[in-house]
Amino acid sequence: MNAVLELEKVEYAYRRNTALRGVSLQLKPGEVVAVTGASGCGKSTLLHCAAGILTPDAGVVQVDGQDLAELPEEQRAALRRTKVGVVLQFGQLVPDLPLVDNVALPLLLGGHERGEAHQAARRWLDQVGIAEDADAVPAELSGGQTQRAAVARALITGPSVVLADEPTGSLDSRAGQELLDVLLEAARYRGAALLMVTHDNLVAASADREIRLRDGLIQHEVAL
Amino acid sequence: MTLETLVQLARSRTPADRSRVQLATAALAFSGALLLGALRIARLGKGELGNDIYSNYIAESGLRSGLIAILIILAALTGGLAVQALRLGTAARERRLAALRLAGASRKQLRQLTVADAAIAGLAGGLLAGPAYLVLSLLFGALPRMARILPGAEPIDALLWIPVVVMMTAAGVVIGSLLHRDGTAAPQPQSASQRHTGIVAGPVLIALGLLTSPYMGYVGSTIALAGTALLFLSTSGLWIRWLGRRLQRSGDPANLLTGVRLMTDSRPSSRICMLLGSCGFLVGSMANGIASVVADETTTSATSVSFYTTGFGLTIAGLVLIVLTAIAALIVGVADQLVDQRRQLASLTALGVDLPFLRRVIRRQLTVVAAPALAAGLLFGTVIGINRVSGGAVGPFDPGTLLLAAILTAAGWLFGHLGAAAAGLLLRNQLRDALDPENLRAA
Repeated sequence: MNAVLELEKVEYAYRRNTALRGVSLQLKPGEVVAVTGASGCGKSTLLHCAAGILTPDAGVVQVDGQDLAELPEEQRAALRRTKVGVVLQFGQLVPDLPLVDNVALPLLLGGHERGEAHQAARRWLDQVGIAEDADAVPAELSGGQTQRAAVARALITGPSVVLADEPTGSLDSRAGQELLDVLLEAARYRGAALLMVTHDNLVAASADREIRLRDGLIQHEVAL
Repeated sequence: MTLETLVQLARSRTPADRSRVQLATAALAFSGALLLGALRIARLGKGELGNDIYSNYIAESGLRSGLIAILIILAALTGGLAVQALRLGTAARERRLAALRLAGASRKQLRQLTVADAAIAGLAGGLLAGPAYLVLSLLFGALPRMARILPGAEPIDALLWIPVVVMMTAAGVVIGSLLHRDGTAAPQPQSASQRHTGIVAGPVLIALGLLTSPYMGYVGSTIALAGTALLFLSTSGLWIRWLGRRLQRSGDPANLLTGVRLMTDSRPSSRICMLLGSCGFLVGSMANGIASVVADETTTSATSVSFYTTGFGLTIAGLVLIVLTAIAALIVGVADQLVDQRRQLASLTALGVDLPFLRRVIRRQLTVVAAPALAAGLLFGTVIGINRVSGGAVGPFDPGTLLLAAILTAAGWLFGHLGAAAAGLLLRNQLRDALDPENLRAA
């Protein structure tokens, strides 16, 4: 089976601080991979490179066989919108938009009609269990609810891969477990591969494979 | 992205964002009204008109083109106010754009959103320009004949309104494009050697201007003015940092916090200090000029006095617009600082800091920058103003000049305080947002 996400010898440095020193990994469709490691080991940088948010200094990032570096900006944004879903620690929703608009955003930005996009967004909000909060703005909701909305937004376009950076990091253990269940179930429902960056051993244990980073390099990789 | 989505995402939703767009719209409406005035005067044709009805600035064909140019310059300066208003909350909007980018927006789409936001303000400003012109022409119509520089509107002038609406919308598009930052490098701070050069070169240029102006006229006074601006630029940074350090040592918590905020980034405050000082200097010079015209025996006829004072008044109006733009820029800087430091400010809420306290800090931060700069500029401008440099009739130590200087210095000080009070009012939504404990969990 072809990899939906492939990173090959990816390097990245923040000025003099090298975050990644040639990391390679592959994700197959439907696979769940956890990236763990101490703070500052390069986990989030790896995820941001995979999402196309950061451009690596060296190496290749391919999504569904397409090299991100070779795509013009417009196509890269379109690829990120349709093939990659991103969930960050605090949801990072647009603060002044109601949840339904936030979740519908990838479709709206892709040129879909408002009614059609809203219909899909409401379906996804129902899927992640917050249908009744569709018209609320993020500030009116709990951290767990905004994270659920972020999961819905990440999955609404039917991406091949979902990238989650500490998705449960801002939640208590119960809300974290609930969100993790929602994320895994939704990703499986879509058949999307899931790459999660986490500090939490329980979250890592739910993955098919764990990759441990240390000082910008893969220290070890284990199937769970 | 469909047009509906573009408008939906671009339109303002939060109170802070709405007040930003309202300010920009008001500035663009005023700018459009001035443009309408220029077009209205241009419609009068090229010949001489009766100066029993019109102001000499309109009646004399040579002066008419000058007045049109002045109105266009004033419109552009007012447009600068709109730019500053639209810059309000840059940090918050950049965060919003980052969230949109995360949702899959391309750089082009983000640019479209910024442009659409400003274009909507431009369109609204253009539509309001017509009523604004009617109000302005009525107000000017109530003034003495020489000052009636905006003729009353006629039904056919409605046709002039259409191009103004188009121009204001286009201005919004241009402002939006300019404001959309795409990895712009941060400005470099002024180096110590640049500062020292300015401290030496500024007084040298002032002295050179004073010595040469009796022979070189306005070339000399321009040199003196350039020297003044350079001196203000070089010393304002030192002044702001000295002030910041002094306030940081204060036992009053409001002063302490003001000092910290000034020291965090002293550059914007220094630049505004320089601009306000220079504008104050020019306004003082113009006031000196008016005093000179009134005092000069050769121009004491009522027509001459009103002619010159109207001209000086127009220049002062332009300078006041620059001062307002500078104060607006200062407010923008403070507002962005509020957003950037919202976590720290939210944590102050836990220590019992409330909205009135933070409003007092912001007012003080703006006052210590604006009031002394304006007052000093007005004082020096009135005493050694351009007219004096060029050998005008009023000397620097005439009792009348000193009285005028004292009045203007007090007015500058008061204006600085009023500006700061108005800023506190304008920034109330940002202040409330900054103190929201919700910010403690913001990334």
